[in-house]
Amino acid sequence: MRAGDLDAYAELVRRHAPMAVRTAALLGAGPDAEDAVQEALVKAYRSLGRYRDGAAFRPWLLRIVANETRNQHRSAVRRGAREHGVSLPPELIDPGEEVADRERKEQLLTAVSLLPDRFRTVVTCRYLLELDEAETAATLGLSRGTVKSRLHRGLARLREQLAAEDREADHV
Amino acid sequence: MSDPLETSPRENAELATALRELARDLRTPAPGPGLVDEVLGRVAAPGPAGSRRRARWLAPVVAVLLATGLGVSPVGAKVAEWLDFAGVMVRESDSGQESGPPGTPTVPAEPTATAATGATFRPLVPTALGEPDGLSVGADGRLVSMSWTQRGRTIRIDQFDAGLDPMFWKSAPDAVLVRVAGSDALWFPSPHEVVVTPEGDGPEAYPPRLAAHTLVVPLGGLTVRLEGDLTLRRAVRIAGSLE
Repeated sequence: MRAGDLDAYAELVRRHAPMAVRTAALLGAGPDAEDAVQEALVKAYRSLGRYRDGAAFRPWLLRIVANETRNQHRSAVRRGAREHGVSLPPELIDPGEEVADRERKEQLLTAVSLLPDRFRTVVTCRYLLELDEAETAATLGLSRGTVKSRLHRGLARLREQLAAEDREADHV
Repeated sequence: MSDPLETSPRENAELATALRELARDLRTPAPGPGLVDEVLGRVAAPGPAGSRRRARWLAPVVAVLLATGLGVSPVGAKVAEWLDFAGVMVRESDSGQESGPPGTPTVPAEPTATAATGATFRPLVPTALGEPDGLSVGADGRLVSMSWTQRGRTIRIDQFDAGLDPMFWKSAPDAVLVRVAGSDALWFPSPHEVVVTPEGDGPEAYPPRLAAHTLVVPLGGLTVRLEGDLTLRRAVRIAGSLE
């Protein structure tokens, strides 16, 4: 696609905006997800000259979205809005869920949001956004080997965290 | 150091399955209706790179200002971010006080059809609650308030003609983005102050008061705020029954 072809770009935006907003929201943009996506879509348009024909558009765009989400999170932290973790409120979970399932899922979601960034981002892309390993690598700008090892270590970290919480709950 | 991965591939696989199930239950906001136009407007316009065309907050005749905790400690209130929602502004501030019950409209109950004659629009009524016990229409006809009191608990619904300006979201610590009837809505799980202001710089039309749990949802060109001692689930159910 030629840079400047606005109609074609509008179609791409329509097609990919839902996934872009979901990516920003789950990577921690919270209510600013759409802002992050709007910035990313503008930057993507201006970077179309660097986009290689034949490369998949979605991971290329998601990488810009992920970067923009990180930038916004950093500036929010600088403003003192949030110091720790990212915004993955339990309200993201479908309110129709049964209570027992819901508690378990809220616990899991919280555990993901508390992971160190290097694990949280790969676990989120691979499992919550359901990207494959290659797309996860492209979105986060990592090698596939790094994605694999961080996934495994991230899952192990999550299990430790969940087990520790269960032990705590047993002692209450 | 042993790698936990090598020792527990089965547990990792189970956790991966649990995460995929979680993913299917996660509801994230849909792109706003103005996103494509906003983006195209920005990339088509010459001008400084990165200049953000911000959605403008349109002051309709009635605007509702929601401020978490503001008013209780106005000096200490830290206004950090603004959140605009067709006719509703939200600002972040210190919070942490108890809310009182929602105020009830002062005008005695009248049949909805009669009250509607004073309004500039046909107010929605939730079938989940039936006809309201209390009802009032603002002097300019752009704000309609209803209330229901059951077993000492009051639920209040305010609705106003908010126009269809682009929505603009900013972070607020307690406001949560949810989906109601296919629209983005805002849920306030903690007490916050509500101030209703007329257009322009005129005096406040209603005294500020502290609100309970509130759901703000745009419906058919109106903005509806639903307030009371409610869970999110019940609030969504009531909002979904408005017709």
